[in-house]
Parts: sequence; C-alpha cells; structure tokens
Amino acid sequence: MVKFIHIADVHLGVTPDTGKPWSKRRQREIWDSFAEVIAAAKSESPDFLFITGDLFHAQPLKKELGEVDALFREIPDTKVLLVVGNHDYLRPKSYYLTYPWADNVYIFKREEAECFDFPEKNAAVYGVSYWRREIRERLYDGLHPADNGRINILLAHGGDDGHIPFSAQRILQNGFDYVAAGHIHRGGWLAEGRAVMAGSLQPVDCNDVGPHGYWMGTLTKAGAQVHFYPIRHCEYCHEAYEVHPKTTERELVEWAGELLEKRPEYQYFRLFLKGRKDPDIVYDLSAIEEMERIVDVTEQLVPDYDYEKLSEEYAGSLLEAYIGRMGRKPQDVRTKKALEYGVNALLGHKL
Amino acid sequence: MQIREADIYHFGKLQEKKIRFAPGINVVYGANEAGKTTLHAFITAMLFGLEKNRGRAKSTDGYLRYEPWHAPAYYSGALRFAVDGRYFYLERSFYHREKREILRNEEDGEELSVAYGDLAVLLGGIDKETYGNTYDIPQSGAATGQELGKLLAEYLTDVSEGGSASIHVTQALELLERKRKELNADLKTIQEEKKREEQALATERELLEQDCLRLRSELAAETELARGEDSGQQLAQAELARGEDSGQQSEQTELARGQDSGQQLAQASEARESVGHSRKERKSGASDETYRVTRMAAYWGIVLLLAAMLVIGLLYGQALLPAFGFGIAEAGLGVAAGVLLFLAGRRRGRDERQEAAKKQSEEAERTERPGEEAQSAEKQREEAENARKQSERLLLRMQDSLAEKETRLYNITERLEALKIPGERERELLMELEAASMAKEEIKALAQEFGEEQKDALNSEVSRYVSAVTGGRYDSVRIDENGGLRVLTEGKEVPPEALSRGTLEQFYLAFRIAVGNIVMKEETMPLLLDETFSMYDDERLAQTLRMISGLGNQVILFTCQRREMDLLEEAGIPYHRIEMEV
Repeated sequence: MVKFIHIADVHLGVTPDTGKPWSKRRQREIWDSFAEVIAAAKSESPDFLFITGDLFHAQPLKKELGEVDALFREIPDTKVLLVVGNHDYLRPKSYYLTYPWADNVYIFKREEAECFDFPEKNAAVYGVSYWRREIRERLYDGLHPADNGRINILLAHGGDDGHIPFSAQRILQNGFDYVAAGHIHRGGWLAEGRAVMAGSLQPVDCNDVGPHGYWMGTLTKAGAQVHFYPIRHCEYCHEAYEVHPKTTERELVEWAGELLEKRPEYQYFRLFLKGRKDPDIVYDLSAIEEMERIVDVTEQLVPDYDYEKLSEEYAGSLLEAYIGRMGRKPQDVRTKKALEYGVNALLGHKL
Repeated sequence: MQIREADIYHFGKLQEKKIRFAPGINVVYGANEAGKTTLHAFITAMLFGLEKNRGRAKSTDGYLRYEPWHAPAYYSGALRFAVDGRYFYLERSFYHREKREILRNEEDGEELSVAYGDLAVLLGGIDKETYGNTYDIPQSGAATGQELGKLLAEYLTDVSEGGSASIHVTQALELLERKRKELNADLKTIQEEKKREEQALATERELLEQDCLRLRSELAAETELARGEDSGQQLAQAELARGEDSGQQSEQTELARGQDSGQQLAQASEARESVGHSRKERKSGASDETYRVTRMAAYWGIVLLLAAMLVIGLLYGQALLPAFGFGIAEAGLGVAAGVLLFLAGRRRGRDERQEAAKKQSEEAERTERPGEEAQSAEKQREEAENARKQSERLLLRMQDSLAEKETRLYNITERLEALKIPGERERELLMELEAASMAKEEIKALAQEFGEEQKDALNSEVSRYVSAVTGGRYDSVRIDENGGLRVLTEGKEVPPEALSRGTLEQFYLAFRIAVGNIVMKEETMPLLLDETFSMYDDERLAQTLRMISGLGNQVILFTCQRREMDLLEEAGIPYHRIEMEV
C-alpha cells in the first residue's frame, strides 16, 4: 500500500486579479497554500507527494527553486515526484535540470516518458515533463507499465488539444492502476477512484470556479481510497441574476449585498445579469463593482423587444427595414449587438 | 374617423360629462382651468390607452396626472365614434388594478377586442407617438425661431428617412455616435493601462539585457584570465578594472531601476568616489616597495584583497538582485532598501580593505628580514592557490547570476508576448464598438435609401400645405442633403433665419398635416389643435382656418379665446361650438 498526496497547477509566482485590492494577498496565498500542503505531508507522512505540472506560473528563478527545495527538505521521508508542466516547461537552461535537489526529490527530466521504481513500496511511477510549451502528441497512449505486478501510477499533465490530449480510460486499459493528472484547473475524478484531475491548488484566475485543494489517500493493487481536501484562501463563484423588465437597480444592489453577507469570507464573485430588461433602463452597476470581494459584474441582458412585433408595428418604416436587414446578416454576437443598439437608438432609448 | 361623443365618468377634473362632437370643425371654448386640456387628454387616452409608466417616463405619466385620487376605481369613460360610416362604442377603465376595455360595433352589437388589435385596425395602424407627431398639434412651445427652424428640419429628415413619424433617425445616429465615443474611451483606458505595463516590462527587459551583455563579456574575460592564470599582473589589472567597472555599472543599474531620486544619485556618486580614493591609496602604497620579494608579496596581497573585495561586492550585489526579481512594480521600497544595503556593503568592503592593506604592509615589513624567504615562498604558493579557488568561485557566481537574469528576461519576454493578446474585457469592448459602428453605418445607408424614396412625395406634400397655409407666399420647402431647411418663394431661396417666427409656426402646422396625410393612408384621423394659433395674427389665422376647413378631416380646436370663432363666422365657415365651464 502506498499513501500519497497529489497536487497540480500551483502556479507559484502568479499574480491573480491584477488591479484588484486583494491581488497581492492572493499572490502570497498561493505560496502559503503550497506550504500548507507540505505541512500536511509533515503530519500525515505519506510515502509520496505527486506534483503533476505547473508548479510555477513561469520559468522559476533559482531563488524560487531554493524556496521550494527548502520545503521539500522538511519532509525527507516523503518522496516528491515532480512533473514539469507547460507553464514552467524545461528550457535547456531551466534550473529544474541543474538544481541540487534534496535526496527525496525526483524530477522527470527526460524528453520521453520515464519511470521511477520503488521496489520497497512495490510502486512504479511514470511520467514525462514538458520540454516545450505545447505538446500535441498523445504521448500517454503508447505507454505501458513495465511490470504489471507493481502498483503502476502515471503522473500526467495535459488533457486539451495543445497539451498531451489523453483519455483516462485508455491509460487505465494500458495497465496503469492510477492516474494523477494536472493541467485543467477544475479538479475532479476522470474515472471514479482510478484517475483524478487534481485541479489547481488555488484558483489562478477568476474563472477557476469552485473549491480547490489537494488530494490524499492510499493506493493498493486492488484500488484506491482517495479524498479531496480543500484549501480555502479564495474560492471564486459565478453567480447569475435573472433580470426581468421590471427589475430595479436597488434590487440588484441588494442581491449582491445579501450574497456577500450570506456567503463565507473566502468566496469572491463574478456576477452575471441574465435575462430581458426594459430597453429604457440603463443600470448603473458601479455600486456593486465597488463592493469588496466582487471581481466584476457582466451584463448579458437583451432588451425586452419582440422584433417580429416591432416590425409589424413599424411596418414601412426604417425600423422595420433595419430589423430585416440585420436579420439577413450572418448571426454572430456582433450582429446581434448591432441589432440591439440600432433598434434602441431608433426608438430613442439610451444606449 | 369621426368622434361622435365623449362620455367621461371620471377623468382628472372632469366628472360625469357627456360631450357631443360634430363632423367638420369643432371649437372647444373655455376659460383657463375649464378642463380643455383634460378633455384633449381624455380623447387620446381613449384612442390609445393610458399606461402607468415606470422609470424615466414617469415624469410624463398621464396616468397619475388624471387619476381621481379619491375614487380611482371610477377612472374611466367611453367614446362613440364612426369609421367608414360604421358606429362603434369604446369603453375603458383606466384604473391599473382593473384595466378593462370594451369595444362594440353599435349596429350589430358585435364585441371586438382591443387586446387583439381590433381598435388598432380601426385607427389604421396609427400609434400614439405617430399621432402625437402629426395631427395632434399642440402649441409649438417656447422654442425660438432658430430652434424651431432646426426642429422642423430634423422633423422632415426623420420622417423622410425614417419612413415614420415616430422614428428619429437624426437622434438615433447621435445616440450611436455617443455610444461609440463612450466605448472608445473605455477601450483607451484599458489599452493605456496595458501600455503602462508593457513599458515597465520593456524597461526592465532593457536593463536586464544590458546586465546580461555585461555579465557575458565579463564572464568571457574571466574565463580568459583563468586560462592565463600564471600571469599575475594581468589578473590583478583586469580585476581591478572590472571591480571598478562592475561596481559603477551595477550602481547605475540599480539606480535606474528605482526612481531617479537626487539623493540616491548623490549617495551613489559619493560611494564611487570613495572607491576611487581607496584605489589611489593602494597604488601609492604599492609603488613604495623596493625589494623584489616584498614586491611580489605585496602584489599577491593586493590580488587577494581585490578578490575579497569583489566577492564581497558581488555577494551584496547578488543579495539585493532577487529583491528586484519580482518585477518593477515592487521596486519602490525594494530599491531604496537595496541601494542602502549596497552602499553599506561597499562601505564595509572599504573598511575591510583598509584593514587588510594595513595588515599587509605590516607583513611586508616582516618579510624584509632575511632568512624567512623560504617560508614566504611557501606562503605565496598557498595564497596563489587560494586566489585561484576564489577566482573559480567568482566565475561560478557570475555564471549563476547570468543564468538567473536570463531566466527573468525570458519570463518578461513571455509576459510581453501574452500582453499582445487582448483580454476578455478588451475583446468585449472591441466587439461592442464594432456593433455600434455597424448599427450607425446600416442606419445611415437605410436612411439614404428611404430618403430617396420618400423625399419627393414628402417634399411635394409639404410644399402643397406650406403654400396653402401661407396663402401662396411660399411655394416650396424641402430638406437639403445636409439636413438644412430650404425655402423657396417666387423661385428665390430664403434662408430660414430670415423667416419670421410666425411663418415658421405656419410651416410647423403645414409639415404636420403633410406628414400626417402621408402616414395616415388608411384612416383619416381627427385633427386636434390645442391652442395652436395663439401666436398667429388675425390675417394668418383666417387663412389657416380656411385651409383647415378644406381638409375634410374632423377638427377639434381647443381655445380660450373667441378669436377663432369670430374669424370662422366672418369667413362663413360652419363649426360646432362646445363650451366648457369652470
């Protein structure tokens, strides 16, 4: 049996939400959260700490690797296995390659997949780091464990078109017992109990919604017992409000205020207004945008027009001609917006 | 359409009032406050409904204005009218909690539905706004002559280009242009913010590039030196030169990173001077030596000392470099602290150097004594070995420093590359800007097409009425390409500024009737004239009344003067008189 902690996409060094008052704090919290994982490893003493890519947001400086290495030295009994991702990929001059790492650190440095074998644990860990920013080849498809008697674990990084596309099922069929993956910031099981996308340790930008944290558990040849452990410095939430033609500005401000009051302190919000609005009303959302923990407010409202009815009502007029003309254009976001603007303007509404 | 009877239950100040109208001209006469305007409002409310408005439109809300506050449930009335010789009965309750409409054909009793548009059909598809812009004619208001001229030009442009009296092309184009400007301003703010970041990064990149260049050439020199190790003098000179050089350069670099505070500069130059000073001291000390052996010893001492100095210098240099590693934004405090540290380091270095120089000259004195030569040769070798090791370490440090800088340079280049891609908000603004431009262009093009079609018909209709209203004084009025009003009289053009306010008032009436005739093709609505003629002189009023009586429409004229009735009687025009009492 092996016990492990799995993290990915820590993005050390990133500055989230630039321009927001909490931006600096969030930058620090990214480092803090990483230190918290090390602290967890210290108290739980797992056999392995898997880091499946993008530990750093950009090419790490030697000093930064020093910080990380010092933390690894605090958990000498845990073997740290690290795959380098597309963000901090291995340039020929990368410090990852030359840094005098602590003895418990194992970095996948080769250009092709390699394996670290741990006979004492009957475990073999496979992986490959990024040598360039993009890898479009399905590198994991052809990968088979050398010894089927071992607990075979693949540390993967990717999952979209530009970054080693893969299917967890396929990897498992190849004989792996467990897949610990990274790259996609929203975490979750890729195959229940057998393959997990860790998700970023902390949200990296305001579109990384939902909880973030690390995974910990045990693994045998027979199966895994793995759980998610959230780290809650910051959690982004996208919330929508269904606007109707009678919705007032006050109502929206109250909604945002209540949301902030009800929800835990660590939640930050992107707000979306959806639905139909009175064409005559222009909402001033600055009061909401100035609230703390509000990242932004986006209006996705369509004016409450029935274009068919309008055309009938204004038959023979420029308005009817305009609606017709815009309807004959290829319907993309821009044309739809132009239709809305034009009709609003022709009817003398504010834009 | 002929309005036959208004049956008011409760509407503003009017209660339980039945008013009959005749075909042709009706004059509703009454003193101020008699309820003429209320009757006028009642008629339009019956025809087009009375909605309780929200938001901005609340200020012009007729609902609240005429709601009987003590008995809102009786807010209602009825209207009898004829269309194409058929009689209809229309009843409305305006009370917003129990809105109700009844529309009935009075002859066969057939129930019609207002909600399903039966009334709209009877009205020939005319909406409230179009009616308000044509046949429902108030006083032209307080507009000055020039304003009125502009208003008229806009009115005609809108009608000809919009194809409807309630589509305002000119205003629409203005609104769209304003939106474009707003969007452009927002976009500019974002792009400037980005530019600032780009510039900061570019500056940092430039400094790093310089640093890398210098480090590379120093590294090359150092490697060269390491090869020609035995030539001690060369090494010493090179180190001396380089120590001095890199000291100065890194001072400049660090300074350039921060704000160019005069104080910092002063401190830096002070530091530089002191370095130069101590070098002079050393030089003069060395030239005093006379014995070859002692000279050698002293020489190696200098080498050692310089190496020590360099290592210390670099150490401090190194120590503060990472402080800048996190980007220029943080440089403020970092630089201040860094410069202080650096200066302190250099001072300490200097003190140590002086100390070492003192020790070394003492040593030189000692080695002057004969018999100790062998011992000193041993020492020399040892020192030479130390120097070599130190030089090696130095080389490594320089390589490290270069690699670190190159990594930072790489990350900055990536960040700059990423900045070129527009962000989410920027893309959205760009899209909206394109949409606003598109809407503007399309409306402009359509207006032109429409204008071409409509202009001729409109111009001839307008000219006809202008001629009629002014008794033939003005033959034609049209709108030029620039939206200006062109008035012709006896073949000559008159600038609109030259027209009297009274004449413009007549044009105002003529335009509305002309446009009304064009847009109301299906059903001729009654002409509502609410104190329209208060600014007219008698002659012009008589002319106008004659013209109106020839229109064939039902006319309802609201006035508080007897003038209109007197003139109608004088001209022998029949009319129906409705007197309202306070």
